[in-house]
Amino acid sequence: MAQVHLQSLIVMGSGEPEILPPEPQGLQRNSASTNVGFVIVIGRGESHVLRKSLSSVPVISRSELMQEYQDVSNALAAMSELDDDLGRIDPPVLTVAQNVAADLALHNFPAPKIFSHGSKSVVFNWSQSGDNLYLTISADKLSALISSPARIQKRVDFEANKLISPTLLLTSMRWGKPIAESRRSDPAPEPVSIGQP
Amino acid sequence: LTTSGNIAEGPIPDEARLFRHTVSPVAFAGSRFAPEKLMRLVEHPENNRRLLTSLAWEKYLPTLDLVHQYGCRMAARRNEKAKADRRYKEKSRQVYCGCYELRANCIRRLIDTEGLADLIAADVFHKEEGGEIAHIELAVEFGDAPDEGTKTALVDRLWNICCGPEKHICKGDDDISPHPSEKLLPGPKNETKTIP
Repeated sequence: MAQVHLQSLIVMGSGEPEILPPEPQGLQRNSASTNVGFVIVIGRGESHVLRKSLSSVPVISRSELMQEYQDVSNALAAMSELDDDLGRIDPPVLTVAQNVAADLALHNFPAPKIFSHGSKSVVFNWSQSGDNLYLTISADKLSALISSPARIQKRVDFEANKLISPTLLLTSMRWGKPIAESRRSDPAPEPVSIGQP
Repeated sequence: LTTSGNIAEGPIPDEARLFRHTVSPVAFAGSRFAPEKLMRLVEHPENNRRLLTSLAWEKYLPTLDLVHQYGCRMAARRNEKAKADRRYKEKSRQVYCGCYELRANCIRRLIDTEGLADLIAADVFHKEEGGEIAHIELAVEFGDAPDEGTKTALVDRLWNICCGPEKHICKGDDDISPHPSEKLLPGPKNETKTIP
């Protein structure tokens, strides 16, 4: 079973280091599930322990991370000002996407790459070694997807206005137990043939 | 190798080799090649459950040189149209960068993809377009109009059945340095790469 180790990250600030978030008590890691390797460390001072034990994990400063999120915000704003035929995103999509980006930044989640399918959504993407984590943001729904080159490993959909924290959604997928089930649990329709267009 | 009108022909064989031509800046995010933008899916004008995109068939492009000529013509046509529409900007100049290869059977097998449960059909059709006899239409159909998350899942799976790339610099683009073809990433399915 492939594992996803997308973007381990340490964010250094000032003061005493603190490692967040801890794994929830009582949640068993599912051996058949995906392990998204987002290590989010919120530090308030450079720590000898961190330098020694996590020396292989990329370390960026909080100011660098905030700059990356500023770039994300600027890119979203630019996407909302494109011409129609270039895929301008709708204002409600921009609002939700900005809120999601703010939540991710607040929790020191690595900054995403961004793309779009058109006016109705923005997609945040994190990738490493062929594995991908996507968060598709519509005006009324968020859809998180983890994939490896071989297959889609997990997908979870949420109504945007019922999700307290997108960061919680993404980190919960790490433990293999989505905090709500996708509505796409209905039986699949029978395959059909597409006629010659 | 040009004709007009649709081509009536039997089904495209499972083993058929199809090509997706890569053009900058469409498939790029800034200077970064963006695999997620390689397949530009558009909604069928009369059926919102169906998404379409374009490929080209090796049968009518039997050498790599012909495959690349197709890509160069495609980028040139777009630039000519932009100039005719008076919206051409050098910054948005269309630059052909090379191609990725997909097999018809990999596309048809998408209906078995876990995570795309609502996908009810995926196939390719020989359909001349813009005077290009090698043009192939890739069509996928869902039980309901696909939501945005489903489009993301589909884009992800389509990229993961690509192998290549075969990079190329068209005549007339050799003034571009660095050429965006340098940024193309290896296709995830490269173990089956068979481009001549």
